[in-house]
Amino acid sequence: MLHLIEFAASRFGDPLLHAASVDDLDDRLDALTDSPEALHCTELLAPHMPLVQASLPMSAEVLLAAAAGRSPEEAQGQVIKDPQRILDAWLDAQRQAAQVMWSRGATRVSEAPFAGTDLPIEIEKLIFHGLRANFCGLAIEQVFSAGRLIPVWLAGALADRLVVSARQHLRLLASLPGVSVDEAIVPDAERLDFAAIEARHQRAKAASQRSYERARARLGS
Amino acid sequence: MRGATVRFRLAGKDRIGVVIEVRPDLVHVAYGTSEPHDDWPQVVVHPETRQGRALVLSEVTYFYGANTSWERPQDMQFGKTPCAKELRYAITELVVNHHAQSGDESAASDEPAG
Repeated sequence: MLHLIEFAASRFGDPLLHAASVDDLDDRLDALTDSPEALHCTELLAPHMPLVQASLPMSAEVLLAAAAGRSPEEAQGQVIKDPQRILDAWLDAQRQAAQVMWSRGATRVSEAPFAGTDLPIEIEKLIFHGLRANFCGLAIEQVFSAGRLIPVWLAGALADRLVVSARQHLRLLASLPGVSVDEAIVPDAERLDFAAIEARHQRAKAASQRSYERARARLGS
Repeated sequence: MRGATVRFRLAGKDRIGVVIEVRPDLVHVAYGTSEPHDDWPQVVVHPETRQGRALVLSEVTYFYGANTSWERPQDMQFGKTPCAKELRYAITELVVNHHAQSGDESAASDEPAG
């Protein structure tokens, strides 16, 4: 399993460390979250998330040191507030979610809740943030395990994206039954009402279907 | 194809948009306009940003939930760079909320606003 983590850090984390700019980093992260290979690797690692996370050196000191050297322009308006608490809560919530998921007998991520393709956009967005946070974590792992030196702006950008995306993903995790997250970190108002989201999703799908049928008639498809 | 950036003609105007849904024969595109409507839910994209460069914008562009159209893929010109994920999610959320709130009659009316 440790070899798989090392492989993932090298295969998916290392390319992020070659980003030439913040925009390039974001392009690379977007592409990774669409990569079947990267997603398959994430699926393999998911049941072993506690081990994966234990190997990632995500200390607040590292993150704050990475972020501290940046100019305001490089920070791009993102503010990291209490990153250690957010990351600790995110890691703990993932451990809880993994336990709930695997205790129910599911053996693959594709059998987990929200693994289908017809996802409400709110859920899809938060899953994207979970993937993005994990890829940033793999890049940070690669910095430490391979002894790589990276520019201060890149360290800061990775730290920003790790914490911002972890915070977003945490909203989803905190809303899952069986997962407990401190309300001071994710207030009730930020948690998801899955029934309301699903109802809105179905209404939007029905409206979209009707507009599609009108368009087909108009265009003679 | 979802998330592709596209250019196409709609009601006599050149439009820049993002593919938000794909069907076998048609794609659903959310398109931008230069007309601001301050009181409408919107996503604003500036040309000098990463998102603006991907869309090859020349001016500030506004996306609204009602501004969508179903088009044939062959009638569109596809951009080289996909839409940034966060922008696609923001635009899609606008459209979904508009459809969910407006229901059948006004949602995706094919009448461009701006």
